[in-house]
Amino acid sequence: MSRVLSGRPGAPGMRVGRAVLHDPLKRSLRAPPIGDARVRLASALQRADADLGLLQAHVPLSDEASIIGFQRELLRDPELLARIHASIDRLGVEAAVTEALDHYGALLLSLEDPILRERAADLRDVEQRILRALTGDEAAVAFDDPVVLVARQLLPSELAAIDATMLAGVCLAGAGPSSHVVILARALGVPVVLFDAAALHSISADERLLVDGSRGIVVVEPSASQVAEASESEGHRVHRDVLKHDLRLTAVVGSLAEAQSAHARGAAGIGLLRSEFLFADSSSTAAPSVAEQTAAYRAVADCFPEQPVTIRLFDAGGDKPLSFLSAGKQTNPALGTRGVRLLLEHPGLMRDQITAIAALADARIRVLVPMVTDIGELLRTREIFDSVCGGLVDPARPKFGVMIEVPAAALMADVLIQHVDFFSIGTNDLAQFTLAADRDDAHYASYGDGLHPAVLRLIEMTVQAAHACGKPVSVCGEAAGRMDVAAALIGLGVDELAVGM
Amino acid sequence: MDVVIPKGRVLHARPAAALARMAGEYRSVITLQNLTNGRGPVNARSVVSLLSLGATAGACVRILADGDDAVAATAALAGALMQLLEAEASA
Repeated sequence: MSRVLSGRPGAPGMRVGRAVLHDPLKRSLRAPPIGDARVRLASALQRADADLGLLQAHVPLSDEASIIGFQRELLRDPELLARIHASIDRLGVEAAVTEALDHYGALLLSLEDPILRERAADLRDVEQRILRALTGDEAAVAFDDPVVLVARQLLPSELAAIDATMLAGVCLAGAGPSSHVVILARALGVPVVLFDAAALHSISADERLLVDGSRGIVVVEPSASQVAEASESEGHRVHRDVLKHDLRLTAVVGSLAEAQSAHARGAAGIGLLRSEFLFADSSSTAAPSVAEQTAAYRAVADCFPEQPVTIRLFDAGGDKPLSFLSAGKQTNPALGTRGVRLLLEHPGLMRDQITAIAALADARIRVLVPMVTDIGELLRTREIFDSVCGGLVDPARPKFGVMIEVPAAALMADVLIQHVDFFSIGTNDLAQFTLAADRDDAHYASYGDGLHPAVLRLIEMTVQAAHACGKPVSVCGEAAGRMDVAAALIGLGVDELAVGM
Repeated sequence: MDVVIPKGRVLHARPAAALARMAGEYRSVITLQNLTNGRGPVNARSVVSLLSLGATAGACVRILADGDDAVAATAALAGALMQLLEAEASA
């Protein structure tokens, strides 16, 4: 007998799968290492080599390129590999890798020549690369049949670790439509229905669930005709209509792969590159070097050779720390040291990042400053930008703009616009701050469904202020990806919508 | 075949990587030994082993090969080593 559970829409789509209960305490998704140790090692070496190959292709400096060449040679060094294999059964893959690289590291450190001793650092680097590749391998969770994940709490990284082709849907408590995990599910094309925690108790493991993320309902033990309907709808997945409007539809991306995929899907540029995502898996507490950053930005920008590419400066905060840029513990991270506030506490880091972007010497590139609240922050940032880019003239000088995601900034848009080339409105935070509604709290998340009239008014004020100076405004955020909201935004005169693709 | 590392040069990462790649192209087992400090002989295909020779200026490096293409391998590696070190200086 089928029964219907009513929740709220999270991510669209309709699919059927077997219920898998995810208990974060029991780490049910932590899969055991897959496969034989030697197979894991081989695939980790291959992945590390591919990463280095990609890096090498984008490094212009011959010195750095040759160090990468040296590291790649290490990955196929027969003596090194023989030593790893000799202890792999006794120690396990990770410890065997560490042991072998330690051994040769110590050997190099025993040499007199300082240049040769320095190469021990490359061995450490290669060790970390292999270990990272192994971890990625370990985190992959595979299922043999389509499953629906029932979770009271789910981290974006946990979702990302699951093979999306076998993930029919997610029933989720403790999240709203603009929670990061839900945004990720939408990007992966996985339907999500949001519930209150209590509602999830009525679902048992291995029950068949039909997840309708568009209507926000779940059918437990659906009938044959309901399943048929779901598979039919699966046949023509949601596709975005092409807007007949002088409107630029750009992509929100957080990696080179996403940029490539957005280009393949016809995006008219990048509306928001989350630059911190490019370096998020760095375990180093040192920020990426200017050369590393330039290479990474160039790779992304090259995906769109003739279209605008917007690079948002590192946007970290209390709730999403970076290993090299952390605000520390705060009582209320959403209202604490984040965005430009954190960058201004590390002006050297911000200068380095702007320098790395300026090295592309390309007017298509737009520098975007996150979470600006008032004119003081804007002017201090602008001063750093000007000191780096002052020598550049069109067409080599990047554009400078700020995110409007704090109501104070929207209210003062006519003042801020005097000092920037463009605005980008971030609706997720703008809605959260305007409506005093935590974007991760399911109870209040419904305010953020579509856009509240109060938020639309702020957007309208922002657009009018920018257009009065002949400057463009883009909107990024979950809302921009919804047709009904997009129509409203176009009505308000927004020039560009940046959406996850 | 013995090669003396010229003044001001070191067998470091870049030439070692090139040498190891080259050694991989021959069927022979090729070894290098630093006669000056006694390190080695080591497998020429192993870049980390080549570095561990600590072959700095003035060191005498012995290249030995065993296999059907041993003569060609020895000559090629000795020639390449000199050339690579030469290139390092001008780089």
